[in-house]
Amino acid sequence: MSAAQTSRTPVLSVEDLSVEYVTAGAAYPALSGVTLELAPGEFLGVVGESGCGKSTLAAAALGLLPANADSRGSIRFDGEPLAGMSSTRLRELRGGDVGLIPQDPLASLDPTFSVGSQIVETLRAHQRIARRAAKARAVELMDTVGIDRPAERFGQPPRAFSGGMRQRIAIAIAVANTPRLLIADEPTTALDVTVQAQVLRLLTRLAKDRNMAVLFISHDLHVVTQLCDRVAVLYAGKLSEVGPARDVMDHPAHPYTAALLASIPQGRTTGRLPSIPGEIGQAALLPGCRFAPRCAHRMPVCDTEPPLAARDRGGVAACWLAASSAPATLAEAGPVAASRRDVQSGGRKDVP
Amino acid sequence: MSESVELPAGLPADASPGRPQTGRRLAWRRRHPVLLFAMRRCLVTIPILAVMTLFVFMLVHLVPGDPVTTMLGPHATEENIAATRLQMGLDRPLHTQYVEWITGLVHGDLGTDLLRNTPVSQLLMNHLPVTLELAILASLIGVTVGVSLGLLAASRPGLLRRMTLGLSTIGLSIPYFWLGLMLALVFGGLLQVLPSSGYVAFTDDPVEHFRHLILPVLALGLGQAAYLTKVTQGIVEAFLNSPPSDFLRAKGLTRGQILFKHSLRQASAPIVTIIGIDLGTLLGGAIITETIFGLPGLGNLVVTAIAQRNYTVVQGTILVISTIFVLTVLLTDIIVARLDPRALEGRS
Repeated sequence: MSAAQTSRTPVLSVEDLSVEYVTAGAAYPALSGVTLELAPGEFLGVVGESGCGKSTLAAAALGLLPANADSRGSIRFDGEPLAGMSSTRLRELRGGDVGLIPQDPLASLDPTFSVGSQIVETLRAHQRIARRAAKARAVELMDTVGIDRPAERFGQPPRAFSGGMRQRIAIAIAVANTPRLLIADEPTTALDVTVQAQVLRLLTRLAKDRNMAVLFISHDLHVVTQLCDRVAVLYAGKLSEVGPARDVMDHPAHPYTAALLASIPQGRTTGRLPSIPGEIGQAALLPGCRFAPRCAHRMPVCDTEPPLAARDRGGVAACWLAASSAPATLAEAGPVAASRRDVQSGGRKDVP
Repeated sequence: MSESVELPAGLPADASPGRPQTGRRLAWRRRHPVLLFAMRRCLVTIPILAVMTLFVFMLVHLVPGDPVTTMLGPHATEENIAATRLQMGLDRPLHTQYVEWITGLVHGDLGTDLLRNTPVSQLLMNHLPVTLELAILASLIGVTVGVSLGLLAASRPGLLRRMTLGLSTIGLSIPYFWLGLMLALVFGGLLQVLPSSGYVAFTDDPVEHFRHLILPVLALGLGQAAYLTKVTQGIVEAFLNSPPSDFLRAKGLTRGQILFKHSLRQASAPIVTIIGIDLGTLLGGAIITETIFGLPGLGNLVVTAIAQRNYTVVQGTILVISTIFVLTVLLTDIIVARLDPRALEGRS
């Protein structure tokens, strides 16, 4: 199931990536030692709370970190390090081999140009294609992403489109040059719940049809486990757990993953909505495990950096608990994880 | 929702089944919102111009001071004064005078300058080109310098940005008449490289014509340049740090494309608005600048006419300046609507 073991060169490989934002002389780490690989055609979900470094990861993968970001480690596209690329090669990559679906489709399209011209522009930035041919191709793309009467709506400005439709336009722009990698940075966060599912279906269909690898960034673990082959859980800029999607959901090896799963509201929840006590705050500045202050399983050893322990069914978890015992123990251990037991037993059947 | 649909040739407008059939008239309105807006805007301008003529007329006739005694001097006889009054039509009621003036205007007759005994329209034809040339050249300098410096400051953060913005703050704080005097003093007086006063017709000597215009154009244009630098820099910089710009970079566009195509388009509507409004200011500023540099423009004409209580000339000049201003604002609005369709919203 997991494509991680394939011998092909990963489309995207992030190695020991650390990014710090420097503001007014103070440095704040956004990502610390993140290592990830994305095989061709693979759907990898990156999950975490706001401020955990998800969007920084997306920006770094496009080589588009803001000027005040200081990054170390390496990012490679198809084995070619981003750091060594010329600005021309980087531009070829952006919008060409790597497509981005932005977080906020309402704000991301240029309001003064027609949606059609914004698609044409992307095509012409990467292909030698005549204006008329590019226009025909753009209309085709608009049709593909489900815009009604595309030829007619080609000349309309973004404000003539609803949020969901604008996100479809953004998707058309992202896939215009059939990229090998699609980075979706919380593509549905700004949309209505009813529209979210449609956009996600479109995204999955396009990725499958065109064999694109997808880096799907979201705060919604539930959506991620449904869509993705593998899941990476980020907490305060560090990977806390990476593994096959289904398995991470059924057997979380990291208490943070377990807590995230437990805070997904269930249908019949009454009273207080489940949540993880505490907040991220300045966790990225902690010396040991960054989740420790909010963790129900905190041990004295958590003050030192946890090792990356191999998970039972593939992947890793950065937790002392996972390093010392089987992930199953975690499920029995605390009240947070225990509340998920019913879902777990139901889900187990699906695991091969 | 206003729709501005550019249909590709050969495609029927109502090709889709879901779209309600609209009348030919309505379809036309939907397809050319800018044209519709322009027509409406033109219609609105007519009453504005009408009211304006009334104000110009009242302004001149209600200011204190009797024109005839001022014109004829303290030693004029009673008969002389009465005769001149009669000749100027000042003995009749104000509303009759107004109607007569308007009737004349419609026929292109702005009245006669009694002091020089020439038609006012003739005087305006002689003086208007000088002022227009001054204002247009100043505007051109302002836009070219201002927009370039604004783009430069926005795209190259650091020392260059700070220097440009510092300069534009200085430029904004200097009154144009002071700048005019300083320019005349330095380049005309101390360095003696440019003429600081006088005017040469283009037909007489083109080179000298422009040499005489350099200092007044700079005096008028640099202030606008400073203002446009700040505005352009602000809008472009905000755009470069906004989600659309991030997305454009993620699409693989070059810096140049993002800067010149997208952020300039973003800034174009405010820039055009400023140019339009400033042209009015420049016409006003031209009056003082013309006085400083001794140019025979409208400014010179009207200043003298006011001092002499020369009614018809004052009326005519103010009317022409205000009309130019109203028409410029009209044109500006239409261009802005064409540049940025968002300007159409809330104005229908």
